[in-house]
Amino acid sequence: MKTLNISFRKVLQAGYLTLALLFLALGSCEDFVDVDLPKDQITGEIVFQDPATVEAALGRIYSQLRENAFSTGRSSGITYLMGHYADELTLNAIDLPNVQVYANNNVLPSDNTVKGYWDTGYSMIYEANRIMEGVDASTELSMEEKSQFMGEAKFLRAYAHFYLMHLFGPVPYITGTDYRVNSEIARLEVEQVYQKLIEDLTSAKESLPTLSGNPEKARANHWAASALLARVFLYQGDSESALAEAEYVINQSGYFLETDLDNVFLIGSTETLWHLDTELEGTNTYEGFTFRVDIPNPDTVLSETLINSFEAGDARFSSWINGVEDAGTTWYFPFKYKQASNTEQTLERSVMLRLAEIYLIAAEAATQTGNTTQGLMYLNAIRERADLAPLGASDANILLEAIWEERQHELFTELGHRFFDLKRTERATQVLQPIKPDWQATDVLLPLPESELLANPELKPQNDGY
Amino acid sequence: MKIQWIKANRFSLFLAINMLLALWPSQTLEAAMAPPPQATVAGTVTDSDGNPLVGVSVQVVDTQRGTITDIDGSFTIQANPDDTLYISIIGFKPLSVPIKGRKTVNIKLEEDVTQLGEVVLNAGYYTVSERERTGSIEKVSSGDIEKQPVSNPLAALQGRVSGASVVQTSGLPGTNFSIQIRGQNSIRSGGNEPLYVIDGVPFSSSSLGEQQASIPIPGRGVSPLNNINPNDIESIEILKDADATAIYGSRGANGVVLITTKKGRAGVTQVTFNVSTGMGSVSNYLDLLSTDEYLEMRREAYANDGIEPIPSNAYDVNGTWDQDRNTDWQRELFGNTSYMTNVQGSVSGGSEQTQFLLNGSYFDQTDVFPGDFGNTKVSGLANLNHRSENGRLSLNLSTNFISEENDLPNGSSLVVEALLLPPNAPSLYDENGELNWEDSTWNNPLRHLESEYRSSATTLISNAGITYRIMDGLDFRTNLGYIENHLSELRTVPSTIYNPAFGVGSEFSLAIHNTGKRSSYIAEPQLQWKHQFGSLQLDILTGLSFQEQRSSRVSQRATGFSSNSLIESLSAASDVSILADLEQEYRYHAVFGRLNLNYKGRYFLNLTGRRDGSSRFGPEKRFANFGAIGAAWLFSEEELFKNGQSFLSFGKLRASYGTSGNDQIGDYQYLDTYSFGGTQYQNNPVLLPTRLFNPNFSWESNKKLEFGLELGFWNDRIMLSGNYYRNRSSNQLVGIPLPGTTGFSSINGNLNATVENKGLEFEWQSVNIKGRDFRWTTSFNLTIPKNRLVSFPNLEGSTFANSLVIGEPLNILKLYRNLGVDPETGIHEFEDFNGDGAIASNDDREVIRNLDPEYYGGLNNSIMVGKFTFDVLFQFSKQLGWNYWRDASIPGSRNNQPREVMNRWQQVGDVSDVQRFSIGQSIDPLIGHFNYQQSDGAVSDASFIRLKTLSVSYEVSNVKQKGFGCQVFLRGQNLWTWTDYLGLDPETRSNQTVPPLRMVSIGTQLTF
Repeated sequence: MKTLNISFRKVLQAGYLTLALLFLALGSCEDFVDVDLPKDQITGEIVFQDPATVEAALGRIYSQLRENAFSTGRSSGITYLMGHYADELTLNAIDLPNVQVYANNNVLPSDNTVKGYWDTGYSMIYEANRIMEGVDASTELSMEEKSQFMGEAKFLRAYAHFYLMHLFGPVPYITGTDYRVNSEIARLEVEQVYQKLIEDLTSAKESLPTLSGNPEKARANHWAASALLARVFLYQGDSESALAEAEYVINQSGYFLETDLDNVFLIGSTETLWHLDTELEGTNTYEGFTFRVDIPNPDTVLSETLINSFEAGDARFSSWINGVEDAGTTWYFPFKYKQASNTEQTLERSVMLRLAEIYLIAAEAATQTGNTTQGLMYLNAIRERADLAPLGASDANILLEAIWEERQHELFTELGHRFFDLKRTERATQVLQPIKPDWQATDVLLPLPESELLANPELKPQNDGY
Repeated sequence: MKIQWIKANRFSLFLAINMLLALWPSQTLEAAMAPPPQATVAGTVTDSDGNPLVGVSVQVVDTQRGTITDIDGSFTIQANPDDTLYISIIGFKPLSVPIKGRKTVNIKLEEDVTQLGEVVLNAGYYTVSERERTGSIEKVSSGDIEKQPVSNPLAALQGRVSGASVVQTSGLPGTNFSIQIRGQNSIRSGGNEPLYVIDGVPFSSSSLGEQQASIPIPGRGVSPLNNINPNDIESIEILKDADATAIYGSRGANGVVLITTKKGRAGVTQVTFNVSTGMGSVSNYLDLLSTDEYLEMRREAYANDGIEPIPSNAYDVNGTWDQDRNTDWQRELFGNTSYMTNVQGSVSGGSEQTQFLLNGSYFDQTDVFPGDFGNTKVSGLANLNHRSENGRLSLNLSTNFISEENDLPNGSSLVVEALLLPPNAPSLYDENGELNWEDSTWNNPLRHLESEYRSSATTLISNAGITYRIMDGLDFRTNLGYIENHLSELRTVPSTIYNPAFGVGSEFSLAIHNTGKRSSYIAEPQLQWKHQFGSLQLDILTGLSFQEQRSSRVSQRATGFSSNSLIESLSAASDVSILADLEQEYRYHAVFGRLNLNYKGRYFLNLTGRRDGSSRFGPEKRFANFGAIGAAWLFSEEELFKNGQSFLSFGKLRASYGTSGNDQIGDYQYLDTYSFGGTQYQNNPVLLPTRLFNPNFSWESNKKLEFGLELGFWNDRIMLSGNYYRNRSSNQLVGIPLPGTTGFSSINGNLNATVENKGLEFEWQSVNIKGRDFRWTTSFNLTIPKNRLVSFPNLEGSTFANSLVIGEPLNILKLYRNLGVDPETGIHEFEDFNGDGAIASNDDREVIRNLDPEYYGGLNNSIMVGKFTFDVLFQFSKQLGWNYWRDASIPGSRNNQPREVMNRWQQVGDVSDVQRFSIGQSIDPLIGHFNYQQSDGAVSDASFIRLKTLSVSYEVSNVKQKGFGCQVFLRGQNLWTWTDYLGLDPETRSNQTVPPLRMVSIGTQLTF
């Protein structure tokens, strides 16, 4: 009887204690596992309450353009690879298989660079969309700040989509951040992409301040938006709008062509509309490093096609091209950017948009609208700067050909201009087939990344020819 | 934050504390009622041969009174004439002796020959006897650990434990071991670490190192586990199944490794000194070409490639270098003797109430490179146990401090270059004793010694356990622990690693500094209640766990020094950039419990459960429940076996099923944050979205099923056990693959993929011969694991598309099929699986090879002859591995090769495994070679049997008999390896690091 009593008491007491512990547990659980934020991270909400952190978030997109995106001056960017893909560069090395596939137009859907262009492009677009949503919801930013940031983000979103479309054809145009929507999104027809580009750039142009004189060009401004819009109109075939937009930039921006070719790519160039800041003071461009040649028989040289196409006396040949000579052979390489390593202060930045292109856009658009005189005027402005004799009046078609050739010489090894020109003027096969044995008409588009089609079947079918 | 927490919970705290306090008065009353002892009983305890036994515990059953025997085995204790004495000491069968009114009680203890009967296992929150356990728990105790000259505690597990694969990653002192308990559960490569718990405190094994600094350390940087000193360890327990791991809830999925440090023992104060010194050398070298063969290869390569004359820069073969020099670069560059010194001293002793232990060790090992590099470890352990007079309160305090220094050159590069350097390469030093650059015709390999890696790590492990007996059978216990790790690293790359002819100055010198710190505390109040209801014994445990861990790390890269002598000074650098500046907090909270039922000592039921909360998950997903059921039937206790003369002395069937989890995904992953992007724009660090955030991911869960059978024959002379397990891991925490249009390649989430690990484990332990002066015991273990990816939605679209195959193990390789060398062209050929005419795409990698072991285990024999004891441990593993060809350069290039290449193809019609020599400048042989490196030709048998440990000891004097003990011993590690592996070592399966060393040490242990 006694033992039974004790047992009961013990059971009761054990229960009592367990209860006490449970009280402790229930009261503490939820709160105990709350932790403070790590010091190297800030939450999304806070980022958009302070202009400095929004600038840093935008800075990330600019730095991606400089470091990793299609636009980088490294050998993974389109300046280098699409130069090989078209007829600007020649590859001598046999041990660079990932470049070889571009030089031979044999890019596969599994190609890592293709995936890189696609992924980095859309990751910049995601970041731009995040900034737009965050800035829009911000309670602390002023109206001017909001307008500036929205404009930059829209511009960058359009810039990325522009290149994605020209590399891959119809592509999704992404304007939100919901991954559930974006992971099942379908491709948009090229014409619709143009509409979206025009909407974004028009809006960006309105939001961005029209600072006159020579404002900081490392961020997109009003004139950069207008210039890109001019290009979009030209590519789309809307010559009148292209001309109007181009003339707006030429006449209103306060920028002007550099007279000395050696100054065009310098940090203080008056014709730069938009360039990318380098990482540190004293660093120069990746382009300068990528194309530098010190020894005979380098991996990459300027193609004979390009070298031979220059008119005699073209000052660009002597100023923007350099060569290494050995035993009677000369290897030519692009020399627009002259600094291959660090200098005391940064001398050059990667130029994204410059006024010379806008002159050529104006020339082409004017000619398309039938105003050959005006077209000739803009073209000759560029020719004269290159110490070439001005062209005389001629038939519109001949003039167009001349403008295209001028673009080849003015814009060589700059962000794939040559390839995009061949493509949009529908001369790619005609020009490239004779010199590139593996060229096929379907090569005007790169393949969509294989993994992308597997992850999102809505993007099917694959581009023709792959 | 903490103050806020206290405020918010003031009410429940108040309530809880009051309820606890309310219990005290009734207990004190009860204690006062215990009757005082009536008489004194004296006696001696001896072994079966009549030798007195020291330190034997003598307890009066059902009271708190106890004592221990003196040096002559005698004891006196106060006890009633009708009391019973309980006599116990490790190594002997415990005995209950009724006093029956006697004044003198002499007791003879029988040695526990099998040592299996009353082995007590630490299961973390509770202990259980080997006999009665329902879960799968393996134990390795100090006796086995001490027999091996090793400095890493995991090394002592090799070959001794079934179900745990322990692999040494390098023979460099101070480098890591990797352990996997019952296979790879998580698809994430970083998510397969077991939970380590040292004296009740969870110990994070993730490195505080900086990758750019710790380049000489293979793997993921220096593991904090290296800092633990094996000399301080009493036992290591490995918990494998659900029954044992579920009480560790969300962190038990990959098994649990419990490390218990040494404790003081009651008895006369005992001083032990243990001094040993040893020598070690690399256990295996590759058989490379001699100069004659090498030059033959080179000339043939030039001829094959049609290059004539031999170019001016082919210094090795065009006569620039001595054509008769013949250097064995492996022995030159990693052939030094490694010297080891190990000194250990300890003092332990105490009374029945208070025991203490002080243990100090010094360990030092140099490495096998030229120059003065090595590893030093100093450790101290202090332990104090106390039990109050009335036995109600007991305290256990333990503090372990370890300081380790490691000094390494860029060793991997030395090994790689030793395999590649032409045997006729120039001498290392010129006539003036300076590094010889031979007119810039080679890169002197000793330049790697200029680049140094130094690390210094300290670890403090401190814990306190307080147990208060509230009443008979009811204990309140609190475990408090604190761990602190520090690591500082410095890697210097001075300009002197370059040929001075290049004129590279100290402005190009580089130094990487890293400082990391981690501190963690834990508090675990628990209640345990044991009670006997007739034939049913009940054991209930409940507890709470609070843990916080903070880690921080700052890492800097410094370049541009005015002089190399200033390279270690950050302030002397012209450019300092921050590589990492991290701070992380991890908090963890749990309620756990265990209910154990024991009916008639035959039927056992064990229920364990845990509710866990971890700061690693979003607010909605923080808490989860884990639980397991385990049961055992000791059928040998049934009447059927009890009666008659059954040869079966022990028989037990076990089964368990339950879940445990895995939260190894890193901190803060659920948050929507921006972090700094490592680069700058307009002089401002850029900010990028850290991830596509998903606050809704949760634990990886692992369902474990196990059946076990344990048998003992002929009075447990032979013990056999077999386990079958099947673990299924689902809710895999991986980046769920997303299309790039989302801006990210993946999102953190629980992927509905399942990984299965199943397998069989066998263990055999026997006492083959048992005599007074001759005893021979054998133990053997074997594990046959099988890993399989059961399902993975949309595998083709994921980043794992090229590395995983459904139905195959996780650890596979997809390879080209090597068809041998084409007798016409002399070039490797491969099967074109997709028929596109090229060997290029992933579709051509159709051969699957599994790198997991097919089976592994160990065989240990222990023989005692008179005063000699021999221990021989063999470890074996049947497995495949990347062989030499994985990292080889093309045969014929300016690099040495293994002798096998001389069987190359030479002319049309030759049948060979080695393609024709080529200097590597013609495209076909080059492609053939590259593809061969990724073909099944580069993966081959890496099975091995290794004589892991050989220990011989001779007892000069026995401490129990003479009061002075002296033992001399000879120990060897990795003495011999039988393998067909083509490469340096089948265990590391790497040709880029030093193979495990063959160590031999001699030493003396004195005890008095």
